[in-house]
Amino acid sequence: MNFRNVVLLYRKELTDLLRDRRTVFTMMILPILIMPVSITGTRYVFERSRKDARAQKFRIAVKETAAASEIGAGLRGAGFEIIPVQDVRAAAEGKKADAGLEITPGSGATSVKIYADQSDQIKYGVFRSRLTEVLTRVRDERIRSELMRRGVPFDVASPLKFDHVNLANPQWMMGSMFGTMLSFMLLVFTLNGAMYAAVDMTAGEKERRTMEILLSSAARREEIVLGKVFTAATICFTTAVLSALSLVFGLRQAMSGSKDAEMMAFPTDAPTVALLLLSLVPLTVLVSSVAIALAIAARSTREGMSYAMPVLFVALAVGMSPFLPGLDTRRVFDVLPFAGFTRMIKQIMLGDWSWARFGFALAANSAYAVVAIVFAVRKFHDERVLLRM
Amino acid sequence: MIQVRQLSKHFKDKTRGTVRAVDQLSFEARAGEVFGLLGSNGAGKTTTLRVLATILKPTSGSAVVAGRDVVADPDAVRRSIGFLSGDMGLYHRLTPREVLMLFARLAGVDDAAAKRRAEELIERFDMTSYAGSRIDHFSTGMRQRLAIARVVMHDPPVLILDEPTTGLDVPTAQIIEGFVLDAKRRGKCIIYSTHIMEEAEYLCDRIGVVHQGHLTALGTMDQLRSRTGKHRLREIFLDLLDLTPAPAESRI
Repeated sequence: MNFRNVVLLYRKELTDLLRDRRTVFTMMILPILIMPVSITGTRYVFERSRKDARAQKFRIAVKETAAASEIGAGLRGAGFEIIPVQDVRAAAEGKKADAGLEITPGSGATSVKIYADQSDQIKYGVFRSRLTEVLTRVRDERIRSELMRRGVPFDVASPLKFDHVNLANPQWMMGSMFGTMLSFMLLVFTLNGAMYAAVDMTAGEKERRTMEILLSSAARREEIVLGKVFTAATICFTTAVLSALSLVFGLRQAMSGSKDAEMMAFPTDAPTVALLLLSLVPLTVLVSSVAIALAIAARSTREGMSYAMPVLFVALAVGMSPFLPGLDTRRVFDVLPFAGFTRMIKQIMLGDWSWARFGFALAANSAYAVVAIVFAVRKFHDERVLLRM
Repeated sequence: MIQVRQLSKHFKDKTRGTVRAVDQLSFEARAGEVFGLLGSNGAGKTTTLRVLATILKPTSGSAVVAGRDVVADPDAVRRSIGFLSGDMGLYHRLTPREVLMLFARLAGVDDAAAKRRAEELIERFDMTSYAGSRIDHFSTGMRQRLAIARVVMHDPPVLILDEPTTGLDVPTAQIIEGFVLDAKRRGKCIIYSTHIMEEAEYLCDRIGVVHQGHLTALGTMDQLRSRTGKHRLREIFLDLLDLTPAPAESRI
């Protein structure tokens, strides 16, 4: 094995890939843009819908009865438009009103049934909160006047007050919420990046008719495979890091100004970032070797890309399995490919890791990466696979 | 320089069963010789050349290139050869200079010598004006000049050229033919596969005709003429393949 040749081939493959505008866009630009754009876009659409819903004057169909008059007055006072009807449900179903209130007096309490189309969650959420506010006010007013009439203080109606105090530190909050999401994102972007690069360097090489000149060059098959694996690993490592940064930036943007923003601060201290990056290394080599070994069997880039989806499904199924309820404490996942990585990422995010477990998971993933490289090299010695054009 | 003994290469095919692409082929090619390998499409020429270039492993028999066996020592064989595939494949996103440097360095040529050699070949093949441009938009002729230059960058003793002038215009083909003759003068052993009979007649010292994986004839032009009684290589070739068109009068 001549590592000078590996470096030469690595530089050649990287130059070749980075001069392809599609690769640069898909592997570098898209991961940077995708999260901020999608999060900001979703947030904009959500805020806009909520603003529109808040500005809307809701129409409520009510059957005019003595029991309804008190609630109706409260609703009018809160800006609702009251539409008197005989059949409130039909009025709501026929869109004559945004909702229908069926108010039935009972022996003690009055029951209020609300008919509404709940398919627009944002609009219904705003309506529901405003309506609940009015109904709660009317109910409290009734209790207050009844208690006053009997000379009893209002506090009697709420003898127990409670408050939830969150004892989790910000890292635990952030780790439990985003550890799984980050693992998932890194796995998806790593696999996607590796497959894209691997297909271009193998099936693409067959399509461009350059495979033969490479195979007849002075480079050994092992050197060719390592050059390609390291190139794919570099590409998918970069893609994964960019997508992770994009996720962090996007979430920060989304949460800016919110009361939970401080609790959701991603760890940016050097040891945590170094651990996250280090844990990515064996994964990228493993994924790249598997991608190269599979993609070399493809006759064309189209066929090669069709292999990506099954690989992604398998890797995600294995990789996300530790997060299934009841399985998250099983240490056997540390030795599974992909799963060991995702667990490691979450533990790092939670700040709940040890050198022993980290080293164990890293070693397991590295061992799989070596096996995958050997598998890829064997494929490159198989002329039926290599010359399948 | 090249010894091929009882070389066979069989492929398994789902519909056709075992395909004997090359069957018991034997020949030798010497230093300072252009050895022509002729045959119709599918005759087994490219498979033979791929075995010599260590891309394919023989099913049986042996092939020794520059003193090294293609199975036992493929790495040494590849360092001794320059292989031009019929596909004319090149890295389209690289420049000619980058391609030449890459293949020279892979063959172990040091950087300074590789740079010197690259500039020499760029000038020789008249590529100076586009040596720093990406290959994407090159014409067939420009690509083939580069492909040939790539093959000889590390100055190997053996050149294996699979249809090097197919699809080229006359001036470019002439440059390549001139280069082959010059390489021969410098003692290189050249295996030259082509469908252009006039070119083979002009360039090759000896010619082997392959048909359905077998070597049906081998010799100099004079030897082939005396064997077939034909003068032109085209007629000799058709005669050897038993495809000689009947005389006009007998067809009437």
